[in-house]
Amino acid sequence: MKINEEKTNNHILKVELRRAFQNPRWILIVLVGVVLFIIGKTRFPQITVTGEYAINTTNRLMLAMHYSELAFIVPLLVLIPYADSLLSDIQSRAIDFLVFRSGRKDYLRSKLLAIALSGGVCLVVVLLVMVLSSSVYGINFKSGIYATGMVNETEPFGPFSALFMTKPALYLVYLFVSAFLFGITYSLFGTAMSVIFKNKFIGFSVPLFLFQIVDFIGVSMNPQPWYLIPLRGLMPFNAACKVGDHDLLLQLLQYLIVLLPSLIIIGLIMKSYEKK
Amino acid sequence: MTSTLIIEAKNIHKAFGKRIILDGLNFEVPEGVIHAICGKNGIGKSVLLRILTGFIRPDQGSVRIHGKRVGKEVEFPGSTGILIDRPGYMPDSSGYTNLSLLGQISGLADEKTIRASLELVGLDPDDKKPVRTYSVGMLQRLGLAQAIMEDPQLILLDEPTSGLDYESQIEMHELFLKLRDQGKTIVFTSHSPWEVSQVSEKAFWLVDGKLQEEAATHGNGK
Repeated sequence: MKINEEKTNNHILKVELRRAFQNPRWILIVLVGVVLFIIGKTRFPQITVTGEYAINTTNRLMLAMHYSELAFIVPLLVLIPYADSLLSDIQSRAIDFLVFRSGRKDYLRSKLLAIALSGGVCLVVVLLVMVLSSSVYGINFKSGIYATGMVNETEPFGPFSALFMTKPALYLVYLFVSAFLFGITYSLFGTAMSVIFKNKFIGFSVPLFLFQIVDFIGVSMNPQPWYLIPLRGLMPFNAACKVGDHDLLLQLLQYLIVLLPSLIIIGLIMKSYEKK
Repeated sequence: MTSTLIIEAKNIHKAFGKRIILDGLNFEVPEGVIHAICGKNGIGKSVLLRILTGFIRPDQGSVRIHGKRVGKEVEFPGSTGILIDRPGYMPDSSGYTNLSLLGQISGLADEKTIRASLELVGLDPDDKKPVRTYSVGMLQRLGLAQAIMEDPQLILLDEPTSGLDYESQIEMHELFLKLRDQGKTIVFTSHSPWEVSQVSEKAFWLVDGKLQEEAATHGNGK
């Protein structure tokens, strides 16, 4: 069989996933998770103290997320593994040899899937590192009240909050799924910005900048509208408490508001590349 | 003797803005030959090659490669190896890794064939240096290895020996002839009459957006 014949042997997805997940940047991701935990632990030492504040593993992760700088760096963090690869392929012109073998559509689909998965998995890895770091005295999922380290300690806010009180292990799964979706969304957003600006440093700073601006505007409003709480998806237990009741639909809608324009932008730019 | 046409380009028109690059160009290439497309720099040789490879769509006309219409029946031509102008690679990976990833996409080049292709063009398959540190000549050699590693029937090369020294050019010419003798069809662009005379059976000059066949070439590949 010869090259490119009817594209019967198109393994571009496998290649893209390999490029996304077999790269040394994942070491950096794990290190960032450790550093974030250390920052959280430094600010709130009781994170690892079983029983006193955090009654279970889920609670300890929530405290570690809240007291670390995760919220600040998260729009950048999800871009580290692979979000610059589309721009890099275009700028290095490696894309020509890739699409010649895979076809343009398959290349783009595989690329976006690999970027999205790498962004999602990146946050899952960071949370996993934080869970393990904060569980030096063991993992447990006892039911109880959510300890925030602040005055009003009650159940967390946001979707599935009641799960925390009854089945904290399931609530932990929900936090991981939320983080995964958040990573998918913002990694593609960063990719879209990088190809718009044709510069990964400028492009990657846009999500970080917008994240801070939107949050700043949101905080200055009372009550803070749901669409101006960019952290809702990552830390629903915290972000929601600023305004009260929220549901999962709004959380998903917020992802879509970022995700859809990002995909459209990438599609349009790739179309213009195709015409050149 | 009639032989199967590998390339049939008919009535190709291409303009960028008001600048007409190709104006009703026709081009046919039978199998098992080496043909050269010649012309001054900037005349449109690379544009023509990009149209043949499916990277650019002509404003008018059709390109058939192996009987299939490029851009309609197939997005890119099958069984074709290409070396386009300014070839690009994954800059932080070695030459071997670059080719290995490309070979995995098509599934048509394994470790053995990639290593053999690299050695054939004078590159060390075990060289771990990232491609971004390669010289122009090394990049060109890597591009050639990439073009031949999947054993394609047709090889389209844009200025394949640019950036190579005299000895390397001779080596490449010998490689082209060897590939031709194996039944491959090679079309390459060049602005060097000497190079054209060394390897090609026919030379076509791109003038005013059309190809004009040169009366005779000197070397005829022998």
